[in-house]
Amino acid sequence: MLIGVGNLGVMVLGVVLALRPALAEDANNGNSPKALFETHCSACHSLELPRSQRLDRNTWRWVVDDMVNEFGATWITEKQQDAIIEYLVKNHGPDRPRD
Amino acid sequence: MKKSLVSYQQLREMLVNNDACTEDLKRFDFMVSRRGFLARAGGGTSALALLGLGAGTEAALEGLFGRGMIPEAWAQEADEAGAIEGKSGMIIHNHRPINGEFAPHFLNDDITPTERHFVRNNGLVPQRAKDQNPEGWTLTIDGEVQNTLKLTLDELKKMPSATYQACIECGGNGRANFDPPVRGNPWNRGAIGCSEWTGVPLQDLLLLAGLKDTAVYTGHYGEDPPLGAAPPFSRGIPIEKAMEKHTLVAYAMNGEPLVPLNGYPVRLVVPGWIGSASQKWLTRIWIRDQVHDSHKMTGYSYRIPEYPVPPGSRPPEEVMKILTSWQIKSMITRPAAESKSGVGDKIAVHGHAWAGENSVDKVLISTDYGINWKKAKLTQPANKYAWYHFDSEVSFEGKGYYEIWARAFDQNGNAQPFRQPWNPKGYLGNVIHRIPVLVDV
Repeated sequence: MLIGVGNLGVMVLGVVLALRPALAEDANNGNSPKALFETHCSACHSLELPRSQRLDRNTWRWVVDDMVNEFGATWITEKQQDAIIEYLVKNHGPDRPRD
Repeated sequence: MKKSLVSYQQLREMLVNNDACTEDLKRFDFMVSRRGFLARAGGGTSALALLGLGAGTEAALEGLFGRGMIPEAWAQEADEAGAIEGKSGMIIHNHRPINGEFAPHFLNDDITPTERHFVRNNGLVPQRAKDQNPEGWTLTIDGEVQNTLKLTLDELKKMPSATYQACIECGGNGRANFDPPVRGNPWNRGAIGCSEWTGVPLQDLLLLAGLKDTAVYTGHYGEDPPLGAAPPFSRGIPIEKAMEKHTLVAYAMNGEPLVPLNGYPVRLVVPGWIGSASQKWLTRIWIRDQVHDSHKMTGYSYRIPEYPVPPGSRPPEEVMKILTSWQIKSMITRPAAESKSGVGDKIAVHGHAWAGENSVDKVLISTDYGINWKKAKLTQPANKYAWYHFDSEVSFEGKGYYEIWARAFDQNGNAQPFRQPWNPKGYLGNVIHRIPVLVDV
């Protein structure tokens, strides 16, 4: 039962989030790769974990694929996924010093 | 034993001896854990400097601590970081889901206190656990059994119980030492605890239910709500391990009911095996006629390649095999990393060793980067799967930067590696533990 409610919650959240970038775009700041990362990824989990990672492009692609295919973040479009991966590689890649 | 005035322990004693309030002590522990952890690599500075307080202001700061006060900036930082109730000093990797560990010097006790036991969650903490209300909770054992069982907490507690000290260690403990870096919570050393668990041996419940000949594996389920649309977190173990007498359906930890973060009201304790086998907030054990095939038993989850792979590569899914028990490992809990000492001081070295399904044969200590080793005194575990403890004494004849290394061996001669072998998701990290020590610098 919990699973059903959880799925419904995510679907509703997904719809809300799908609308949010469009709304935020009007404010000229919601469509940046950083905003996409923060908005979509924090829907399910806090951002401390991704920010603690230092991964190469292939591994970030693997992580995002898992989030979409295994953990239900299906509302994130392919274009948005690419932008988020680009942001993660640049800001949380293997060459970035640990905080 | 002469030591610089500014060890973490001495700062804490100053606070305690000068009536610091409990909240400030919690904030202090949190900040030591946070700063001490992050500053491990920076040698040659005082504890206060390592804690983020500028060198040269020690005298004034010691005066502050000597009045039972902590720097205001710390109080703010600790509060903003949202220290987690009942786990003071925990290094928090993530707040949603909650994942946190303790620095090795916080894990010095022979039996890990509940407030120092790591937390590894995949989903959210169930409301029942937060309320600590057992009403409506049941455990179901079904599948390949003669009689499906459904038990309340009272019924479980009326059955004969067993109490064991048992290591539970996250399969990813040590992931922070993998190079190149791998995905997942960056556990360093502290995603392990050896607490005392009380419950009903799972074998008693399985005998009561009556296993069919077709029973080969368990599948465990809990009531923690998954994040997003994730499938429920579920793993399992072979029937042989389920029937091993130390595998418990536990309702008490260190003599008290389980706390919400560690699985209230009931969890599995599958000692010596990777922590995900020890399902928290347990509600169902499904006896399977095949290897459990849940999401977390397949793909790359809790699995490693059958053969060593080049660091940074990802082999095909077909060569991944299910993780079972931990391997030989040890941890130094005294002295703390970055401790200061004087030339010739006798330094007591203490720690724990463990070996999954095996036994620990010996622990060796080196203070010269592994050139010379001496055998530590080894104390036997309270029962199978509990921590062994080791003790030694070292001293340094000249000033400088040194490291204390510990290397454990199991009864088959397997020892901890000097470099961390690599696998794609950073499991079973057991590279030797190194403690930096500063002597008169």
